Amino acid sequence: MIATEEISPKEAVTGLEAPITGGWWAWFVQRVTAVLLIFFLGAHWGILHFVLSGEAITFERVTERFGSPAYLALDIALLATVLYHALNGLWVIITDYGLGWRGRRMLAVALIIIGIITFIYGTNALLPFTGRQPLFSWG
Amino acid sequence: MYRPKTSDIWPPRYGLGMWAWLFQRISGLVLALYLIGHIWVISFSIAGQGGIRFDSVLETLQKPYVLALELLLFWAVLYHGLNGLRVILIDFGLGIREQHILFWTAMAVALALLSWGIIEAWPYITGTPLI
Amino acid sequence: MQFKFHIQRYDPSSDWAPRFERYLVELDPLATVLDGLHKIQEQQDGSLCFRRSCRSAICGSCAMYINGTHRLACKTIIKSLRTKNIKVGPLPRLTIIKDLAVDMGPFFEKVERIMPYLVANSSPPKGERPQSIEERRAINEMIDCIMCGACYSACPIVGLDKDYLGPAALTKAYRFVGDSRDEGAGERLSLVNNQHGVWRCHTIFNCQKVCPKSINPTWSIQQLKKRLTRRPSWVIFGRKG
Repeated sequence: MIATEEISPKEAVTGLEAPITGGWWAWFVQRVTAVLLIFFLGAHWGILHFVLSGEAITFERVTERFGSPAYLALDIALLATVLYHALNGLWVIITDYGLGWRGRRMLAVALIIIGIITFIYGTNALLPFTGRQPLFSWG
Repeated sequence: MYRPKTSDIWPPRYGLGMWAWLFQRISGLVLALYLIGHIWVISFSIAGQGGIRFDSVLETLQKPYVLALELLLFWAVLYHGLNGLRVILIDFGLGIREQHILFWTAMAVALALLSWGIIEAWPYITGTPLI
Repeated sequence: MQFKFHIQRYDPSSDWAPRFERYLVELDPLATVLDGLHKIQEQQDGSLCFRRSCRSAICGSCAMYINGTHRLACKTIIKSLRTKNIKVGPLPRLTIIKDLAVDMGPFFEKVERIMPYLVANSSPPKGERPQSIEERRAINEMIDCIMCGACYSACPIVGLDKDYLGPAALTKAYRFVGDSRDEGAGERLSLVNNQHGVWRCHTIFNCQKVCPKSINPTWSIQQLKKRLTRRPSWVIFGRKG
């Protein structure tokens, strides 16, 4: 008689990639940022609409608005939250197409770099409204 | 000769949840593109001296047809946000079996907010108030 | 009454691409689509290939794509289709073996992966492992699954991510996780707690729409997510061993 070997169901499955663990954090934080975005974007738009209603937006008026540190903090928080939410959303969409280990890691690194660059770039764009010089600019 | 019917082109297997998900993705991608554009436009316009370029760029951006396009942005945000809330509720275990009701409730709220937005934006687009 | 069957035919060993073949069949309107397929096979074209076994909606062999949606051929009364044109194809997103028979291999491999059997390591009480009516009722819905693969085939994520466990396997996982007698919940939850498991489900509800047994797999998947969220210590830091 040929000896039979006990194998666990995990090993018995062939042709399938080993499960990529995790996923809870990404799922949970995506939902937390979603709820945060409702408040941040609501405030961002609410101030534009109700506080500055009916008047043309000019550099002076925006500078005046950014005189309040709370508004500056709100905009920076909105930028960070929306970037995380958008890039994680993009990550979910792309990984739906079934990337392997390497692809996932490279994609994650690329998206984190894009996120950091965009955050610096976006925060830099807010500096002139607070009376500071931007770190870098065009033209 | 067999002629394809509507059900072949628009198969019933695509249920409400499928379309909700598909449009959630599309609106998400649209909003991500808008975000990039928004950051780029602000960065571009603050370059130079004392906000001269900012004022001229913002003047263009407050033209009536741009305001009309902004209503589309408003709709994308409303859809993505309210359908997103539906997804979160489903993730909390609420209304999994009543997802149709949840979806149409979310859409009713979104439409109400959109019509408010249209009423508010109308004078700036056409020059005369809507109501 | 005469019905026109448009059947997708494909033999990978000889055909370039799938094609539709038409058969006129004399049938009672209260017959099923499976009766029509049998009649075609017996009287018109013996080379037609399809799977069926019990013809009473319990074996789950004859899930097909009939007139635009996933149905069991044996459960679909022709009259209910409200047309004389009956279009039958194999389950989408699965590899065709021949004509209407598809390769269910990956589907069953994924079901096997979540340990689809009762894990009860503790020594049983005298006689049997009792279960109250309420405890049994909690898993009533999931037990109804006949593993026909309709939900698996309807899920767009299955089409995209070939390693995604799919609604049937996850429903089967919850059938045991929710079973009061089962003791393997921890291991089973760790098997679905990954990016090819519950977190790949985007609550699209196609599985619920097509299930011939009116099961709601999305509900089961959400219950699994709920269980995982309630056990954050090893969800977050990983499980030892």
